[in-house]
Parts: sequence; structure tokens; C-alpha cells
Amino acid sequence: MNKHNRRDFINKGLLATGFSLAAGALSCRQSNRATPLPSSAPDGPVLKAGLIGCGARGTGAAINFLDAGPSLELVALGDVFEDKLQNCRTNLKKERGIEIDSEKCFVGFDAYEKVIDAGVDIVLMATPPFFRPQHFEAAVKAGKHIFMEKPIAVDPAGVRSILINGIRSQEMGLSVVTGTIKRHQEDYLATYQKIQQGAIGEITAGNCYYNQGKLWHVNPHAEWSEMEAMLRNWVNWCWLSGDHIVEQHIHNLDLMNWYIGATPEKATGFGSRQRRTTGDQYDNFSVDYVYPNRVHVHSMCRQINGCDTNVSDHLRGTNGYTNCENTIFNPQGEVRWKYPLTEAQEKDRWHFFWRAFTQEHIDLVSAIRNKKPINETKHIAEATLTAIMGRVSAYSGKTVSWDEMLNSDLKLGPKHFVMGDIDIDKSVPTPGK
Amino acid sequence: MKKGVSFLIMLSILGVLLRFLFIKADQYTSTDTYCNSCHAHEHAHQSWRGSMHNDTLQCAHASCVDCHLPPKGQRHYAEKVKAGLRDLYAYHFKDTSEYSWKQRRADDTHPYTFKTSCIACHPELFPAGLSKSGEQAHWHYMQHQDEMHCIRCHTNTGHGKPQKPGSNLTFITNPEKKDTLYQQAATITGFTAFTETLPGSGIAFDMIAVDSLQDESPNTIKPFYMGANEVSWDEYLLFLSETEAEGRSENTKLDGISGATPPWGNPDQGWGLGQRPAITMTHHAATVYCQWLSAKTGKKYRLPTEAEWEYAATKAFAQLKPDTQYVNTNGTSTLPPQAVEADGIGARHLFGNVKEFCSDVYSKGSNEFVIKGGSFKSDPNTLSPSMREPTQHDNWLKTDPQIPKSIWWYSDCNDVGFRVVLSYPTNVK
Repeated sequence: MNKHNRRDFINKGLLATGFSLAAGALSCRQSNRATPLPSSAPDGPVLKAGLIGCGARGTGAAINFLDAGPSLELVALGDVFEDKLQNCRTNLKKERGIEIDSEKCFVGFDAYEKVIDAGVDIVLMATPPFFRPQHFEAAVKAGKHIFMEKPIAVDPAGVRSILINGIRSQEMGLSVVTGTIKRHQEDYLATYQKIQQGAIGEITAGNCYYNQGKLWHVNPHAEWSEMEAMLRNWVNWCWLSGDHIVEQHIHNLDLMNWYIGATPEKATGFGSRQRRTTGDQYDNFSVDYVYPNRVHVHSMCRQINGCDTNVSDHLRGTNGYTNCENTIFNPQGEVRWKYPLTEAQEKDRWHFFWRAFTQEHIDLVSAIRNKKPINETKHIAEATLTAIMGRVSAYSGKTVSWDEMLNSDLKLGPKHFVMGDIDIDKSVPTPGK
Repeated sequence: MKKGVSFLIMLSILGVLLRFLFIKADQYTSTDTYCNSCHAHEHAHQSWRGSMHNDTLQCAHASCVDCHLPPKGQRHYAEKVKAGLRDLYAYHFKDTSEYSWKQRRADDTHPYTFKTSCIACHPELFPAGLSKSGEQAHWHYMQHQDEMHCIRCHTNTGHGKPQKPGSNLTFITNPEKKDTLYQQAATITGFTAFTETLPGSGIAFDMIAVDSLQDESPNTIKPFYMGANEVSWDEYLLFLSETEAEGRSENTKLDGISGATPPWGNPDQGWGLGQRPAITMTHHAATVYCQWLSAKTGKKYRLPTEAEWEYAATKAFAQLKPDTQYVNTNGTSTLPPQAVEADGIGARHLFGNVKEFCSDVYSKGSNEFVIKGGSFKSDPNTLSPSMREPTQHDNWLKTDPQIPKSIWWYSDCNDVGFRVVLSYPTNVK
């Protein structure tokens, strides 16, 4: 796979070089109009969805799905915890006035199987990513279309399972959309198109950042088992979230893979845990990713309060640079092209960002109803593995190659899933040991 | 004008006629009956009849051309003409009885079966019913598509009884406990045949004494004991069960010997275990087996040198002809020792059955080792004491999907094994 990527990358690189001068110079004069994405999915026979993972993001995804177009229904819910499920049920009623039949509300580690079997066409997945490979495999084998939140795994074994079942889903003609929202934002798509046309020449280097404050944590309760405490505090445990480089920074890393048109060949990372109060994760990472043709991308992410925040991307080429989102600069730093915003869009900085959450579902439902399957499994799996690569490098203090990661048998998490003690190594990783 | 129209009509009729003839000819020359009308390999036809590609529940009927020509639109006719001309030439100018069909089947590049044809009928790489080990194997294939052919794993799928490819983690089980458990290893009393007994097990095997005429030359062969038979599965499974490493962790419980990881695939090929020779282990694994056997018996077992093996084989067949009475070259599988008669020194299967590892490297600086005696796949006319072949480490691990590949098991060589020797008398521990 990597070989193909490399080949594609070289070809694209050569092509880009070929017309970078011409196209790049002309890009100022090109039309500034971007093709608008559909604002609603087309109508069609009713599509029923079931939600696995009823937390805040799951509830949000369910609402986004219902907003994506006409004749869309949510009919089943599944979660490990009763209270999470009931909260979601209440919120759905409040927000969209829908009732989910009690018979189609399932609680427990096997709830996902019951949701898949509840007569649904689409499965929405928003549990902690550790569970995604298992849920994805079951849904694909049952022939369901899928929306799954990023990331899609926490370890190489999980990524491989997603890749395999991704191919299976393609062979079955299923549509799969994932939560890497930038790929569903008009401004990013228009900028990507420009970069593909050679607007900054051949890409030579990049930077990406997800520096922000801490997310949230949940302290254990006396009546909770260790499993329950971990699940409720999942963004702080590596086996459940993949650490924050995987769980959050994946947005930027996916963007780098997407724009560069390849996956990194190796990664050398640093990281540490300075102020995180629970779990076993780091709270900062800094990784040097090396893409084909020795294109270096420096990635950094931090979850520490009181520090400067910055969530952005930057790619530099032989003939300019871009923020990847909406602006292209010439080498001297002057704006060469900017995505044309309407007045309303101009006033709302987050217009495209918020819109993208529904856009993902519009694109999914449109693909199903137009019988033109889309399948984002490969790129989300590659982005997840890119992030895992950075984490493994930072944890171990070693340079890690793509092939090593793709074929690694690293598998996190406990072997048994019951509400009890968890028999895994809970120590914070120390590089060099 | 009228002439022109008539000419055009005639031309159209001729075109239609030619097209009709072409289709008919294509259909006729694509039938199994046609293929068999001049092909000399009736055995291939018979083995295909017993295969899963001949109208069975598992698979639809596949004719000769469905596998032995690429699909239409993918160089079908070009290959058909090529194959036709080649066959025509062979039919008229070659003696097909001289063909080594076994060797042709053993060719790993499978030049006469088209991967595109497999894929045309089986386009799904990960069908819903595929097992976990199947997924792992197809994942491996996906990453090495240029080097691999479907039938490198799906052996015998078109001819004969198919062997199920895949992982076989349950292969290593504790050998059956027998009533008689040997308390200690055999004691050697003199330079004569003896039966080695493995303490704590019911396993025993015969060693024969191979005497030699010693002279003063540095290359002289010193007397040695040699396994009367190739190391059996019974013996090898005891080694595995006592030293097996779970996954890739190292097991050092026996004298620092790290044992084999579980095999990929089915090492016994479905032929059975017991007294049949153990096969498909790597040279490294065979060497570690000798270390284990030495620790277990207090003697210094090792692989034979090439010179020792050659000396024993020369002696064994000094008065005998290596024919089917003594040698297994059946082309299909290994056989237990009892299937043949003992040779001149009381050994069995020195020739044929399985190629046997020697301790020598094949040539100076090479990483490959010498294997002697040929196997069940060999042409009996080529067998001789001096015949030598090299191991093919990389080539015999092509289909192993594990990363890193096993150092214990060859995934793609089912006719290699070994027998042990013991020097006399100097190296009894």
C-alpha cells in the first residue's frame, strides 16, 4: 500500500512540478468560485439508523444525521451505560422531538450487536475508538452503511482490521463516512483543489498544530468498578482513546496525508506528561514525520491549560504556502488566493466547521440514495496509523517506520470485558526503557 | 453501382460467416474434451475431476481454459494462440512421456495458471465468511501482490484434494501420553545399533552404527551412529511441546533453548503425523531440535555432515538399486518408514521421501545449507549419493504472512526434513 502511495506521490509530484509554474502563476486569475456542497441529501425511501455510543458526540452525530435530509429516522440506541443511553434519548426528544422505542434501546458490551440487528440501514458509531474495529467488522458483515467517528482504532491491529473490513465494505458496495470533518468543508475542499492544481508548486514541508487546554476528566466513584471508571474517563486512557495525538490531532494528520497525497515513511517523536491528572496518557507530543521525497512535517499537540493555543495547519511548496483552510500565499507572504466568503460566512468564523458535522451525513445519505458509494475507510485508517506512529515513537523514544507500524502486532486493552478490575499495564510510558 | 452493392452484401455475409465460424471454433477449442484430445496428461484430467473446481457444492464448474487462459479481454486470445502453438509443437515434435509433470507443478511462478482468471471468478479478497487467518493471509497477499499467486497458498485447488490454507495455532498439542514412560535415555554399550529412549515420554527411535574405514587422510569419515529413519512427527512434536514459545516470546525452560513459534499453515499437509517424517521445519529449527535432543539424552546429537550422509548412502545402496522397494518418489506425499524396506545398512528413506538437512553450507559464503537424498517429488533417475541441493530460505517463506517471517517453519516447502547423527565414540557427553 505504501509502495502505491509512494508511486502516486512521485507521479503527483512530477505532475505538480510540470505545471506548477504555469498553473501557479495563473492561479491568481482563476475563478474564485468553489462548487457548493449540497445543503441537503436527496429524498428517497426511508433510511433507518441506529446509534452505538450515546455520549455527547454520539447524540450530536444522531442529530446531524436527522438534519441531513428528508425521510431519515433514528430507531435504535446502544451504549454500555444505561444513564448515557437515557440522557441521549431525552436529548433527542428535546432537540428533534423523536421517541426511541424502549425495545430498541440496548445496554451492555453487546449492545452494538443488537443495534446492528434492529432493522437499521445505517449504523452511527461514536464509542471510544478502542471498540470501533469490532463494531465496524460486525456492521460491515451485516451489510450496513456506516458513519464512524474518528479515530477508528487505537493500535495497529485495530487499524489492520479496519482496513480489511474497509475493503470488504467496498466489495459489498457499502458507503462509509468518517468524522474527519475537514474533508467535508467547502473551504478546505476548494483549497485542496488549488493545491492539487499546483498553486504552491511542489509541497516541500509542513507544520500542523493541535495545542489547546485539557479536555475533561472524570474521577472514579467508589461504587464504580475499574472498567466503569476507565470507560467514563476514556479520553485519559490510551487503550480507549489512543492518547490525544490519535484522538484529536488526527484531524491535522489526516489533512497532511490528504494534501501531500501520501502517508509518512517514518516518525520521530517526543512527548511527556506534565499536568494530566488521571489516566496514563501524555499531555504533549512533538513529532517529525518524514513523507516520501524527504518532505518533513512537524506535528505538535498539547492538552495543558494556561498555555498558548493554536489549532492550524501549514504547508509550504516550491512556489508559495497555504494555511490549507482557505488562503494561498506567494513566497513573499502576500495573499495570492482566498476562498470567497459570503457576507454571512464572513461574520461567522465557524460557519464551515459547524456545517461540516451535518455535511458528513448529507454526503453519506446522498451516496446511498444516489447509489454512488463513498468509502473513507482507507484514509481514516491511514490517518489513525499516522497518529499511532507518532505516539509509539514518543512513548518508546525510537524512530518508527510506516511498514513497521502497518505490520505491528501491538494490541492494547484488556482481554475480557466485564465491569470489574482491568488487568493491563497502567504505567505511563517512559521513552528509552 | 449495382456491382458495388452486391460486393458489399457479399462482404457482409462473408463477415457474418467468418464471425460465426470464429465463435464456433473458439467454443470448440475451449471445451475440456478438446483440451484432452491431444494433451498427454490424463492424470491432470483425473485429478481435476476430483477437485473442487469440477461441479461441486463449494465451487462452480471451471473448465481447463477458465484457469489455464486469462479471462476474455485480458490477453485471452493472445495467450490462447501462444498456448495452441506451443502445444501443437510439443504434440508433433516432443515426447511427452519425458515430461516431468511434478517439476512443472512445483514451479512457484505457476506459468500455466493465470492469477487474473482466479480473480475473475473470485473478485472478493475479503468475503464475509473469511476466517481470521484467511484475513491475515489475504492481507499479506495484498501487500505482496506482485510476488504472489493465489495458488501458492490455495494448493491443489484446481487438481486433486485441496489443502486448506491458513494458520494452525492448535497444531502443537501435547503428544499423546503413552502407558510406557521411559525413565532414562539409552546407554551406549558399544558400536552397535541401539534404540534411543526419551526420558519422561513414550518416544523411542532407532540409531544404526555406520562403520567406516579410517585412514590417515584429514577427510576420513569417522564411525558414527545415524538415525535409522528420518525424525518423525512423534519425536518432533515432543520437542515442540516442551520448548514451544507462545507467540514470539522466548521460552528458556530447557537449558536455554528457545523453542519454535506455532507454525503458519498446516505443517503435516494433512498427510498425518505419527511415524511420518516431520517436515517443513527450517534448518535452524532442525539444529535447535538436535540441541534439545542432546540436552534430553545427555548425548551430542547433531545433523550429519554432507560427507557422512553421502558415505552412509553409498554404503546403503552399494548392493541395491534405489527402486520403489526402498525409495518413495510417489510425487504426492511423504510415507512412514514401514512403507519401504530397509536398505543395506538398515536405514529407510535415505533417498526420496524427504530431503534431509546436512550441517554444511551449500557453498562457501552461502547462507543456504546442503540437503541430500531428494524427496517424494524427485525424479527417481536423478537420485544418487552425490546429488546435492541447496535450501531456498527466502523462496520457501514467500507465503508466510507473518512479520517477521517465521524462523522455525517454511511455509512453502513440504518435502524437507532431517535425520540425526551421533559421533562415535568421542562425543558422548
